[in-house]
Amino acid sequence: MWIFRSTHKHIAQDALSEYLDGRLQGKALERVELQLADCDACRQELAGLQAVVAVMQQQPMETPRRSFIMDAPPLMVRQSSPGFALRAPNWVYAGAASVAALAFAVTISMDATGGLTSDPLRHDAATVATAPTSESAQASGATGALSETGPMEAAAAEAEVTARFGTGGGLESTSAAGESTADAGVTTSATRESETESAPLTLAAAAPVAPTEDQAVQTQAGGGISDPAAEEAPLAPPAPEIALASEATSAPIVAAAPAPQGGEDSVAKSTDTESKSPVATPGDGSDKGSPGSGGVRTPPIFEPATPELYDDVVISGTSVWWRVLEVAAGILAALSLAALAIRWRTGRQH
Amino acid sequence: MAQITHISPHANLLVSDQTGQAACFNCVIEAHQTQAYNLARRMLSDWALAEDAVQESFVSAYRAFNRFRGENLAAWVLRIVSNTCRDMLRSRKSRPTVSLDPVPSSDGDEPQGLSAVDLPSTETSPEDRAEQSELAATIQVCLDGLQEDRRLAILLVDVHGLSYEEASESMGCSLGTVKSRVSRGRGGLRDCLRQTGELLPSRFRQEV
Repeated sequence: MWIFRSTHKHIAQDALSEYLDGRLQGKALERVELQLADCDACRQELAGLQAVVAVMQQQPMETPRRSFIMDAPPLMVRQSSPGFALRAPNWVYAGAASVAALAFAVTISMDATGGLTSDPLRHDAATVATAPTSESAQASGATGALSETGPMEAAAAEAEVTARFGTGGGLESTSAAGESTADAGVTTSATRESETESAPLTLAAAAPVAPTEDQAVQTQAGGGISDPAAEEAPLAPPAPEIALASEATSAPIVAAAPAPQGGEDSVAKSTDTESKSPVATPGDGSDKGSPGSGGVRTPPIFEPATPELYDDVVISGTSVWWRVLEVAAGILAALSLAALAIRWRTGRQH
Repeated sequence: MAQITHISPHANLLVSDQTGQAACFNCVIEAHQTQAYNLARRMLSDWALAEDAVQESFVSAYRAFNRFRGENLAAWVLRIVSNTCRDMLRSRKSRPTVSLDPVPSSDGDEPQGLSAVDLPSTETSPEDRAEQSELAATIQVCLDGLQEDRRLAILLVDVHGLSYEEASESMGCSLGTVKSRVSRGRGGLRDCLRQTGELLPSRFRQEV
């Protein structure tokens, strides 16, 4: 008897509840009835459950205080079925969001660290900006051969230089207004280096405007403002265009000495480009002996150039395509997350 | 579908289920609004919320009637009411409110001091009526203390008389889950009523 009591187990509550509802059959029913016959606690528990069920079944149904009969059919809200693009499984959107977010993070980090610089001259330009003296010295050496090519080429180069400087990106133009063609070559070489830094905007239209010897003389005379040779120099046909380019930048021409005739354009160009030059430092070697500059410096003016003035746009720095990739990755990630959120909400509603 | 075939003045509100069988939806409402209202009232412990829940449930039922497969309409309606009550309970958890106001009555002759959990009684004796109201209030308090799923299982099986299979359909769970919830709900309700036995009527005290 002692052993029997120690091994006795009460009937599980679930079995008692089922027994109460008459859902037990066969051996399960026999086992429960045997245990009930032997277990007082089980019988008491069964009685308690029976009382609860009886009380709950006796709870009356209250009539609603108002009728819910509809006078008119309710508005049928159209089920917001997800579009074609949202019918894909969730992992598609999750994967797209992950890939796009990863691409976005990678491109952003590469951009932040300068890894996306597509223009190899960008670093050179930075070097020029930080060490203008040495670069100018190299440029002076490099223009030796250029000066030997003749005044016509030098003049053409100078015209190109002034045209470019007149549009906002410039280096040391006072040397171009100097007395030698070598100086013009200096500015040409320096300009090539400064293009990458100064602006992606160069005006090449004015480059071929001074292919004549007259222009060379005019350029040479630009440094000496009171040089009679400059006064005698006839007005070259492209000169107004160059002046126009200078005026386009609205640079002050106060530094230029009054040159009544052909030299006026050159002086105007020189002054303008000087004011635009970001590398024009007092220690610049090419600045020496430039009467055009005269030590008068106008504050640098960084104005956005008028787009219609340029027909040759050079993109520098981070490539536009990388920017586009960054933006596209960000947008794709956001759209994928939005699609996931929409599907989650619609799933909850259903 | 037998209970919705009688003639109703609102027979123009016709719906058809998934099998294509047409039905008068207001007949469905008439047949099941009492059950729906009592289930919602006991689930929510608030008559006003219960009315809103039933109204919303019938609107949902009307819109979703074409998905009804024509099996057990009562279980289907109670399932919609259960889901509506669950949503309301979840929203009430975020903004908890307790409705202890007396029930407003349409005519002024009725007593104004009744609680929302008071139930109309068929007993004629004032003592029995008071005892019934007290028991109903105690049961409602104990029901509120149960878990939401167990409360719903007890109400569906013991109060509304659904079978385990019908309750399984209404609750959207397996048959074993229904058995377990019913059993645990009954046990929890029994324990609660024993603890508050002082408030129970003498008849119930003897039984428990």
